[in-house]
Amino acid sequence: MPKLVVDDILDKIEQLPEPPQITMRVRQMLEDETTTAEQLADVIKLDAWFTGQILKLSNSAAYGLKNRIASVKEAVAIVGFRVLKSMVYTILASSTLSESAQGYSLEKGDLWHNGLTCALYAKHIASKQADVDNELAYTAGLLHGIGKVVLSDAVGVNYADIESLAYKKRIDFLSAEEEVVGINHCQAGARIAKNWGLPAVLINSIAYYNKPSSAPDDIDLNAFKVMTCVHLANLLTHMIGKSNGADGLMYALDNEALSRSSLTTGKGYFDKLVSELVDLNPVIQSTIESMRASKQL
Amino acid sequence: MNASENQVEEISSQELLTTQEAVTEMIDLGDLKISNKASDVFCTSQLGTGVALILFDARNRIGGITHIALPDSNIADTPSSDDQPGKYANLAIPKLVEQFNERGGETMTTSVKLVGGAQLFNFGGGGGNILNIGARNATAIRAALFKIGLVIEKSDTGGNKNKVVYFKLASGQVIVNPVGGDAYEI
Repeated sequence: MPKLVVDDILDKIEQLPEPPQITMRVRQMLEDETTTAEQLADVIKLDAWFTGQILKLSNSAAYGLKNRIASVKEAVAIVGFRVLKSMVYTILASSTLSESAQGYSLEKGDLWHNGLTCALYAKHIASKQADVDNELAYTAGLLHGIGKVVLSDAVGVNYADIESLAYKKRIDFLSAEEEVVGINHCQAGARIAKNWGLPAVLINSIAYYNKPSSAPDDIDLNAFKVMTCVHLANLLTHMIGKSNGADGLMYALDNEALSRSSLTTGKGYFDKLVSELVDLNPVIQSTIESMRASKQL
Repeated sequence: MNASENQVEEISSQELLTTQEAVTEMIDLGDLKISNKASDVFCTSQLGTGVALILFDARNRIGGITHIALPDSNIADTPSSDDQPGKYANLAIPKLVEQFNERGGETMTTSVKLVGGAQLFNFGGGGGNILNIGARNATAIRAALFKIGLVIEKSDTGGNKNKVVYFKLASGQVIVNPVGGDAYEI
């Protein structure tokens, strides 16, 4: 049975709508180090839909910019290439993140809420580390669960088996999901990211966020640290965030990844972290509410 | 923990739906509310490691609820702000009881219920789970309630599920709905 199910899931990945051409073009320009801010603004402003998306994000609570951004030129100048990249990936993933994943008891909008929570938590954790790119951690956090969209049906049908296997064999939900369905949502998500042409650091983070220490050894330390930030942020999202699915807290902390990433976890670290992250929840809530109000969700 | 503390009663999907439609206010992490309005139905945001503490005085029909995030404010660099009175157990419980009493709630005749405090998996990891905030929350709340002589009538803590709690002021009913599971009353 798993082979048929896996084939069906792989088909679903191929059938996901391709991101709009403009998104891919801008993504390529951002990866190219010779691109200037002016060139970028010139390309973006020719596309009304994409311009609207960039302005909406620039002015959303999630990015926390103080002044209102009124034009693409201004957006490029003020937010800079690094943040702009994270916005482009957000736009790229937005239609997939807007799907429901009923098999995990995730309603329409929940993947967005969950992804945004993980993104802002990951960014916060990364910003406490001297050498982790916090915008990259944000994007990796936002995209971590995209694979759930294509696994949803198979997980829904087999949910009871997955859950009982996890308890019986003392394995986490992801491992049980892989054993029952034949593929897990991290593997599926990484394939989606690859199809979108996302950089390796994001593909790897989606593939291994659940257990960074299981990632191949040749992943460089900075990418590994991004992955670990997302790992921790995801667990904390399940602990104190909203819009979590039926898989709940059936996941485990990867202590080895924390120590390999030299994540400082002295006495009281987690309680302090939770205290800070709880304060981000109203920002996340207001971003989701404004997305709902503007019919983006 | 007394023997009847964990007993639950099933709730029909129709009753759950009616309750959901009647919700008047969300109780997020850090919130604390007291009410004597029969029409009020409070609904917590998903409880993970957080714990909902609910007081209900049936005779005077006063209810109180708080959604606690952490056991102790002393660990945080900054103290609890006024808009999050329920964030830390050590500050939330005295505040909840004080406001409950001020509004006419008599703690001697009050029913106390606890829900939440879930846990991540911890497979044989030596040294325990450093993220065991759910269990520490429940322990801190139980200790604080014991100290002021409040007896827990019902509790539904631990496990690995996120849960949503509905608290109906008209009847004092506390309905628990685990994400992806069937609802029940405690």
